[in-house]
Amino acid sequence: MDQSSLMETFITEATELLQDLEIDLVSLEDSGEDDELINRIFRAAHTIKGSAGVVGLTALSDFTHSMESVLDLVRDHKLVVTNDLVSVLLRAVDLLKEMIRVASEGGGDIDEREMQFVLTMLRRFLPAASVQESITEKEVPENREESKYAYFEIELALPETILETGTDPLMLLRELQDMGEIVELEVTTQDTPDFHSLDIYKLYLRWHLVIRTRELQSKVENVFVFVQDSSQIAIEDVTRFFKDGVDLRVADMKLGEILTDKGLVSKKDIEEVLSSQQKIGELLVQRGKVSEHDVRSALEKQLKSREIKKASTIRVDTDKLDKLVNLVGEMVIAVARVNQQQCSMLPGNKRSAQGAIESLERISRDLQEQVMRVRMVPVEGLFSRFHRVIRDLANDQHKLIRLELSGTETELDKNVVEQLSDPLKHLIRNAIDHGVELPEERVNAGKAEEATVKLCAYQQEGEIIIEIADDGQGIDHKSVLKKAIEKGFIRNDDTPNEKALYQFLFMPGFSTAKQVTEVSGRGVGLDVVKQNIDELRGTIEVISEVGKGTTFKIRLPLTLAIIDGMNVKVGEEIITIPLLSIVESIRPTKEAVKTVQGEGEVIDARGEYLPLVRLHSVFGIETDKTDPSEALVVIVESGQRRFGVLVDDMLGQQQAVIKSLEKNFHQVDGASGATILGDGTVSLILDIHGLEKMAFSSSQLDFGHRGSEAA
Amino acid sequence: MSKLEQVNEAISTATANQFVTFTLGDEEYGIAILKVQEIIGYPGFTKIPNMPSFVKGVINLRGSVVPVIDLRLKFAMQEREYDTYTVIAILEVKEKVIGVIVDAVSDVITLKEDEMQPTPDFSSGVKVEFISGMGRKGDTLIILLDIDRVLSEGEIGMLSAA
Repeated sequence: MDQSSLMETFITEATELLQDLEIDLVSLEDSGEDDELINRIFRAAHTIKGSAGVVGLTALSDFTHSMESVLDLVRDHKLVVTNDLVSVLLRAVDLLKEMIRVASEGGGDIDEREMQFVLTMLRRFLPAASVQESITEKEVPENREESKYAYFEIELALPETILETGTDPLMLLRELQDMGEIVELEVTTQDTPDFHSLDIYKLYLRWHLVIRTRELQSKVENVFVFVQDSSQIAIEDVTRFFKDGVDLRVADMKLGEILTDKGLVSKKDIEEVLSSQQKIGELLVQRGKVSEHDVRSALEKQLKSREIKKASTIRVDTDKLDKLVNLVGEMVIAVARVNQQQCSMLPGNKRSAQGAIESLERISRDLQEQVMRVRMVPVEGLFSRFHRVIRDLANDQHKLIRLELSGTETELDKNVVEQLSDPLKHLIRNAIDHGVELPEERVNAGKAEEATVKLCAYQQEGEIIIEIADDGQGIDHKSVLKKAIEKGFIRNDDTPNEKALYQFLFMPGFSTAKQVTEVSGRGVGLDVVKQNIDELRGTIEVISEVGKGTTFKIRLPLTLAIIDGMNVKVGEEIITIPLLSIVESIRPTKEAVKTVQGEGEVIDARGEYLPLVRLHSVFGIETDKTDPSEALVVIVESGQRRFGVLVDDMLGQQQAVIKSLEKNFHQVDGASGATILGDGTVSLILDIHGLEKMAFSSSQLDFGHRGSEAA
Repeated sequence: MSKLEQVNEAISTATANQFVTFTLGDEEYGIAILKVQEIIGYPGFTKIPNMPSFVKGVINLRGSVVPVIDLRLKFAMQEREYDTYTVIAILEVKEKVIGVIVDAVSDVITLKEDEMQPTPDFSSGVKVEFISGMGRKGDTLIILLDIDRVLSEGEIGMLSAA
């Protein structure tokens, strides 16, 4: 792996780790001393520090080290988790994110002052002594000094007769001790005979020791120069296995292995003991706590889960996935084409061909679904990010807010998830800023002191629904109406229904906030949210009750690449209308179509007068079906209002793979893209919002109100 | 220079002066061969609303949606019924794929240096800035088109618009 791909891996991993770290820090504040959580946080910081060092980002590594020192104190319960501490740590996380962003862009400046500030804040949490230590002793010298030390493992088996020569083994050991520190020492006494056969002139002991020293191996060997001929002495440099005097090899060893290694017991002893030892399952069965069957199924489950865990995941470039999704979409269309044309196939074989094609169609749809699923990710990652947002805002505004998540396992296309982040953040800010009241106000209003913001996701009929609900003060219906009149969106005497009225909140520059704050209230925001949701081909609506709270409900299509479309005919052209925006289709009577002066045509759809858009005239297509009573009116909903679209005829429903018009051309007014029909021709996909703009750009005044004056 | 580079260089020298020639009305035109991806028959279009008349619509080229313009109309020549000889030259210009309708494709020719001349000062209905030069092969005069210019020009905005 070369340096650049190492860096890439580091950036992806560190970004993910930081995200988890952020979430964990916020929940740490709530849960306080949760050892598991603290350990996880510590590990994340530690991993970032380590990998940053590997890819050569020393500044990042050093900075994380300071963070780690503080976390270390928390882990050892020497530091209590406070709001203040979490705030500083979160700020450090922000800075790390920034540093990683800079690194991913291949260099740039980070805010040095912010960094110094955060560092100072972090040091404040370290006890004075340890600051000193961590800077003078621990940080710099220890690391360097550690590298000067070597570790030698010495197996010392002196001849039995050594005492007769007048050599004292203790002298040898003392000499070793003078050279450095003996970090491990074991004496094997296994060879010592029974007391009555003990020969006091014989040496029965063997030693195993590890010494930490600055001396060279030859110097260590020199200690044994006089006895080495007659003894079995093995000296091995084991520096690489040791750190701070601890044998790292032991970590992955079993107890038996460690003991045999030290020569304390023999392998045979261990095997004997092990064979007599019963497995936990057997023991439990024996004592009648569980049945044998239960143990077996539990073991199977364990095995299975271990296997799955091993299979784990692979990272795939989203580009590759996109191509796959496109190809599969292509195939689904091709199969549909075959299906459509099978009528013209040989008549004798038609039946068997039909069966084969049907199964091909089914398989390709399954395949498509599976491929789509590959792109799906749970919204959990997205949702949990908001803990931080809520925490910070609640702190700033002295409000008490709890975030409740539900349906976090709901899956969405990865692209959608990414594009949802901003609008959701905005809506949450909005809820906190405008919706949630101060604790005392809430108590006065008879509500719980702590407000709840609910974020929930669920699937409903091919759509994903995301709701952001607060139990705050709700939206004042009257002030929205007043503002709408003030802005000239509606006339004084208009009484739009609530749903239509709240849609004004998404108009640019529309804000009913009495005070403009840093967070929201400037009237920019909800229109951007609306725009973002539109881009995802979703809709957004507001449900609100004064005093009870506000809910923003976002509906999103399951996938971006494919829509269900209704093919309609206009003149020679076949146009696809997204099924989701179609309310119904009607063939009006002659009397139901009326012309309103200055406002064009309207049609009477069950008592509701809706503006009529003649698709053939907006798109400039020639057709002889210009009389609505002989053609068809498709009622569509654009989120802001309903209107009728005049088309010649409806042809049928088809799944449409969306093709970009911009790739080889440019954006076309009134079309959100194109798709390829069963016969291979191109069909434009109608963009309801675009059409609305094209058709109504001259008159802004008939928003959602019931056209009583038309009747 | 590596082998691959040598080969590439050889190819580009060989193709630098190669042109696909086609007819529009009475005249013979040429487009640099490297711009031409393929030539297909007339498949029928899907109209795009509110476009200038020379933008005929879009076609399905193996799953990609490709716009098609009629060069006759672009060059303000008389419109002509499409027939079995009508072809679409699929061009790749600035990473976009665009179809261009011409009366008929004639040949692929190689012009030597002395068979090419800079743009003359005359006008043949085609704006002078669309012409990169003139070529002569035997008795025929070939108008060499700067197709990038033709397709990027402001009023179409085929390539410039987002």
